[in-house]
Amino acid sequence: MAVLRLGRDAYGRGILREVQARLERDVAAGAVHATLDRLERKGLVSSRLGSGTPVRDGRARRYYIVGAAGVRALNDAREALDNVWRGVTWPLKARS
Amino acid sequence: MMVQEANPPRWAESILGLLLKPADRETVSGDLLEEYRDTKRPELGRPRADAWYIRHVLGYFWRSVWPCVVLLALMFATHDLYNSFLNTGSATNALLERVFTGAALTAWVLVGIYGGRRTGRVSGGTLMTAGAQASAWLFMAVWWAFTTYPFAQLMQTNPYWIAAWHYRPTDASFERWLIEDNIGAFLFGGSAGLVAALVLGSIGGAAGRFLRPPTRGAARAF
Repeated sequence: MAVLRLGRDAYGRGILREVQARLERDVAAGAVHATLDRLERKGLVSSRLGSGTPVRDGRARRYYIVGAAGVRALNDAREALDNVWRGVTWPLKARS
Repeated sequence: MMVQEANPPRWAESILGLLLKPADRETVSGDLLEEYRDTKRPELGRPRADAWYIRHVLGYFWRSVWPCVVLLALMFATHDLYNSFLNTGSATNALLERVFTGAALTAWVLVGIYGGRRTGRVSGGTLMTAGAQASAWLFMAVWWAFTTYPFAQLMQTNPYWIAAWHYRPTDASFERWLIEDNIGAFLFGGSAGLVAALVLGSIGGAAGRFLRPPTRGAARAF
């Protein structure tokens, strides 16, 4: 989802910050990079190298984009989640 | 605010470089450096920004080596359980000791191969093997801290260990003797293991680098 939201700016650090902002907690950079690597091996996202910037000492950025299989997987995941929640009133209330 | 000239600890950057796959080396280290300079250093100051960077490098380290640490820790725990409860000092036991030693040597080489193959560097294999052994050494300390005394209560009924206790020139109680014996084994065994891991990890790293498949294309089109 972070890759989709960021669009053309979806590279490692940007994705890390987006995930941290959405989850409102610190997330290990290793976890994000490992996830992106796994998604790429599954063919759900693809990547290309972009140019570096001075703040990175010229080191390249790897930009990600969600592929057709990734979009299908996101739609399936959203549908599954909607099915799980269907008929449940939100927000939940604890029984007294 | 951006602190462009600010740098994270050089040693941490070097370790990160040794842990990453060639295809990720530039991009991942660049991501961390950008976050460090652009956000963490201005917001947190140098000590805490450095701590943040080191924490993330340790995260990469643990993600890389944890299966190897589990392997070595399981081997150590199995050996200690066997040694504590089943050792009778017979020829069969001497043979099993050789098997355990051989398994440890093989494991260090295999971890080195894994590291060399993954990172494409001999030093990657060395670092992963030494790191896994150091982590297993830490596990060894925790394991013995919790098991020495309760195990001693059971080992006192084992004729082999009774004989070993009487064999040593000591007036110490069985428990105290065993604690001292374990401390000695921890210091000697752990440090000797680390040296062996450095050597065998380097050999494995060289083999792993040789066995590495061709690098995946660094740049791919969308």
